[in-house]
Amino acid sequence: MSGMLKRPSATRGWWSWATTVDHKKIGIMYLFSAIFFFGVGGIEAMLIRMQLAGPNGHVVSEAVYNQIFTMHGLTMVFLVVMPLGAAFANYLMPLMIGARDVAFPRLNALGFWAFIGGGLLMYSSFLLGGAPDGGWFGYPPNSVVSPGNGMTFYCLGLMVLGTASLISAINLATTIINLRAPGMTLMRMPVFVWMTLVTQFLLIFSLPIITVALVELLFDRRFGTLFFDPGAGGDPILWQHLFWLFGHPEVYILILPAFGIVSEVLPVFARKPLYGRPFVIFSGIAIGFMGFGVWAHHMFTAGLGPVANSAFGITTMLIAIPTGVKIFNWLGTLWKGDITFDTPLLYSVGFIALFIVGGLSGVMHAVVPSDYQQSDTYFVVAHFHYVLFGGALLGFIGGIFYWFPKMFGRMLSEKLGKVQFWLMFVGMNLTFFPMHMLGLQGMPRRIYTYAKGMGWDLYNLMATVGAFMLAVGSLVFLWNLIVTFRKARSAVADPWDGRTLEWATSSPPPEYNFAELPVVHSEDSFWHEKYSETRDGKLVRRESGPEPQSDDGSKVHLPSPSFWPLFVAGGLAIVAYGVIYGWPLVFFGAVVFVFGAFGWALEPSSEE
Amino acid sequence: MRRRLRGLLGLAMGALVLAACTDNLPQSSFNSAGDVAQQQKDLLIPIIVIATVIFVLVEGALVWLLYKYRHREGSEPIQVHGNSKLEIAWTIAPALILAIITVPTVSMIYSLAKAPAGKSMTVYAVGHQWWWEFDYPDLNITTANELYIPADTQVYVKLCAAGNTNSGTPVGAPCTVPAPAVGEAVVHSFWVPRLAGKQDVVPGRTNTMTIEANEPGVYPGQCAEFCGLSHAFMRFKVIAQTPTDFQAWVTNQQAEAPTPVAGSAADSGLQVFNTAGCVGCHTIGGVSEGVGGTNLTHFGTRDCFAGCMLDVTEENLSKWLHDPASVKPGSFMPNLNLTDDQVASLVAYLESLK
Amino acid sequence: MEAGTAIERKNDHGAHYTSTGLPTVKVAMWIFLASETLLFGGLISTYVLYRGRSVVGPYPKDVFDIPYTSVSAFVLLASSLTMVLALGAIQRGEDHRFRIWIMATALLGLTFISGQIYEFTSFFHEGLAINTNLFGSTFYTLTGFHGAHVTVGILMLMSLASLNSQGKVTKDNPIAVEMVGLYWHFVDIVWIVIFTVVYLIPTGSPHP
Repeated sequence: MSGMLKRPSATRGWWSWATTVDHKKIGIMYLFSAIFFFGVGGIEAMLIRMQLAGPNGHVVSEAVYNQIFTMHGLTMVFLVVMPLGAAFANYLMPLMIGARDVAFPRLNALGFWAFIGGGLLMYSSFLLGGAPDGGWFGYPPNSVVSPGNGMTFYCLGLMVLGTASLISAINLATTIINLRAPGMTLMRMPVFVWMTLVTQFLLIFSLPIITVALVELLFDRRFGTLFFDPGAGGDPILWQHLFWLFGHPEVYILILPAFGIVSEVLPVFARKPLYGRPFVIFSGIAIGFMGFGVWAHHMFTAGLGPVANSAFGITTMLIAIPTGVKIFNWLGTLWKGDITFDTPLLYSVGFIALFIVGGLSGVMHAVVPSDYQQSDTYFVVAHFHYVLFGGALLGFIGGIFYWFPKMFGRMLSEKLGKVQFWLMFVGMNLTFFPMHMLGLQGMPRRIYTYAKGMGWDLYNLMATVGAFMLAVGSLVFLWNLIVTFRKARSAVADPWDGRTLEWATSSPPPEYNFAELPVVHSEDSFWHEKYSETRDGKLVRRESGPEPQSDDGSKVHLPSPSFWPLFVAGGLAIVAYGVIYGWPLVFFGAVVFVFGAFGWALEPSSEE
Repeated sequence: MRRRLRGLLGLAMGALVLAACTDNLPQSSFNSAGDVAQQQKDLLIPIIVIATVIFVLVEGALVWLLYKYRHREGSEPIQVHGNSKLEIAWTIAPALILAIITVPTVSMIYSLAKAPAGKSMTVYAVGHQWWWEFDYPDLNITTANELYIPADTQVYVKLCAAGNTNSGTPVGAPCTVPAPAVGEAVVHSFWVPRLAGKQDVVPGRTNTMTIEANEPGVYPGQCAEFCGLSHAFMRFKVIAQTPTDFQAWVTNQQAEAPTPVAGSAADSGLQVFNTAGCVGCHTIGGVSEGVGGTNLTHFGTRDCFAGCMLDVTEENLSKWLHDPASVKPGSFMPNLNLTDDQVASLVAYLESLK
Repeated sequence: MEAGTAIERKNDHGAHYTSTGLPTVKVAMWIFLASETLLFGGLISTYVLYRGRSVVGPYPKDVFDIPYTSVSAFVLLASSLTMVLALGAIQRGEDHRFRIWIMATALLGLTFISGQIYEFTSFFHEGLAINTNLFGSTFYTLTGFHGAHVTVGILMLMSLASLNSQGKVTKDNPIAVEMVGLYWHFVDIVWIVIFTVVYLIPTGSPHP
């Protein structure tokens, strides 16, 4: 069988991207996919804001609105922020730990293509009778009885995306645990790698739980099971528990990589190490563990009773502590530094400023009796947009500006980057700060429109204007990408005077990353090859500098490209469509999947 | 320049926060008009103040650090790595603040969870798609959309969902006995912000909460858990009255529906009601025993209908009766293909049901 | 299946240097099994939480045949023994014996699956479908997922026999056998939990 189909060997052109197993190319594909879906989710956001700009709006119909806000949430969480985390983890982590690639390169490709399959599956629903319309949280019984195939696409799309993320998480965790360069102990790993490691374990333990929930919802919809049917003894609250057991760790999955990026960027632009590095690492680990103990704070009004509400109120308050530790340590990193305000730093500082707001409103949610007023209102919408837009997204954009020269050999325009920053920083506050007031003034979430005379008109209008600012900021970013890619490659290996190993390679790095794997003697090992410290903490440039990387990669043995991951991902997607459109399609998809799996297993990981 | 901008932003935010702390908006949790809402607000305000102080201090520190340690000609960084004592300090300090906040929080969780002590009135709030039914078990009254209560009295609200489950089994009102219903039984949330925070309505469970209005008045609320197509239109009003007025309301509601004058437009309307199919769903005391729709016995005393989406006017009623789903998407009330005359007389009849 | 990884590591302590000293596939398999624990944990939790809440029958006591299911549980347990024997054989280079034991494992697994199919069919004829009641929904979903995992395992076992005949899985490269073995034992342990929780622990009186 393996002789039948010729092994791909392209190194240029679209087929080389489709069959690549190189972590850097896969990371870049995740990055551009995320940017694309950010545009789509952003358009959905604009439609929402236009519909809510004034009372009794009629920009779209009620049915369409419910699909749009559902897809906006699903897109931003699963198709933008998670893939951004995957993009940076994939691209950087092997470089930062001194490895040539991840543990299982073809599995890595499968994770990416399954993500694409899941995203396309989810969006194809718009053309196939209607998109999911039960909210991103899909509470039954509404999500069970919602007519049409929309919520079935929800179940299947998330199951495919979840599978993709799980595969990727196992791969990345294994890589970090087992493929570090000699001398790179766990405590010498960059903080970004640590945050990535915790994130992967959150995925590994939380994704199966939502899989169970989605299976039960899918079966209720498709096979008439009774999991959430109160008339048959089922309980809609079971879904809420299962969903939030995933859903809460999920928000840490979204934010931890950005925490990691900020922890890398600040030291470089303050020109001193991350303050309290071990504490930043341990608080990240603590957040990972504690993140599994707070889920029912999404259910304070569900009627779980005072014991549960008190317990989860307390655990939710406690999780603020490690988060605060990180923020103080980032401030400590700036203290006594020598700060230059390049764009990556601006975004990291913006992250801290806005995350503090989101963190404080989060603590207010933990005040349970007051949360009975806040829950399910625009106060919550304000909170999570501060931490996810002001936090995660700004952190990732900063990461894009920081690592762009490494990935693409060019620097993004600093001027455009700063224009974008201010548009987004101001726009973000204009959009989401008024929502705190709207929520406390009685405006619930997920409403198609609101009546006149509620007193919500002005703040809603402000939020809509702010959204337009964000749209303009996003377009500035797009423009920055376009003009930058038109330029020729010009970046040097280490444009920012970085601290970690990826800056030891050329920009972009060769396919094999390192001709000879580095031997690591300390944290920030690359920095310590460039600088030493005097007794009173002043930097001294070393004369010898870091050992130049040999560019003779001829003896390096790399895994070869493969198209089997495409087969297997395609098989998965076909099976998913089959669940909606009939068993023959399930069977066909399963055949494709199994054929792909066998072809993969029988193919050696590299041809020589 | 950057520092001033941030300072201005901070001031603007602070001003907005303070401006929002009390208001006179109809559905605002800060415009508390009842004991529960007041307690919840009184717990939150000091915490908002503490949060604002922390915000000013930490953001201020951030801005100051950026200013003080910005790169200038000849500036150098000092390579500090950390300080364990400081780490312990800034772990313990927030923990202490949170511990202090936790005490009144937990205490209030428990006190709010109790059924009202002393005198109280029990009401069932039943969530349908997409309207609220209100049952007074001790008074033998069933209404919709407008919850009349006596002011200055604790009202113990029992919450349940009505409708069919996905397997077609009905669950329903009042909160214990399954009754056939139209629409689907889904999760809702009962929220009248000026009187109390919300509690969810979960099919298969009966959640409870207490509300109390200090003064007579009208307190709007709406469903706060996404429940389908017309979630935005599942609104209601709590109308608190003096004891005398409330007693008068009760007496009136307990009576059967007034019989229209023979030959009047309202009388024609009654004929239409009895023959066009309305009686299947709608109950009118002394006239019909319907299942699944609103109780219309004293419809004429209400100001709003269709889940309080619309005010009771002839025009609104006409539009609604002609084609409910075109007014409120997904409505389970069918289009009975009534003529204009039939609709006009029905409107007259409904308005006569005082 | 490949041994170790394809990543060549120069400047290191040997051909397959790893940070922990464990083979990379082994680390990955343990992590994968950890996630599977949560998957089955969720399904078993659903079963336990919904125990006794069915509104209509048939109820567990009406359909369960504990002696029958005990035999099939024993069959699966025995297959773990044959799996261990297969691993021992390939580590000693006894290819023929290896193929016998690995196919025995697959056969015992197949017997278990056939037993389940028979059991489910008879339950179905007694009126228990997946949409009959909560017991049907939770029972078939849980055991169905387990059965699917066993089936995938059987396919992998048979593939190992074939790969051994082709000389791709040998005494010098036995890691695939060990990994499939880990998976197989895991699936067996899950069955022990399911058998105990679902079959052996009696359900209280049904929902009135």
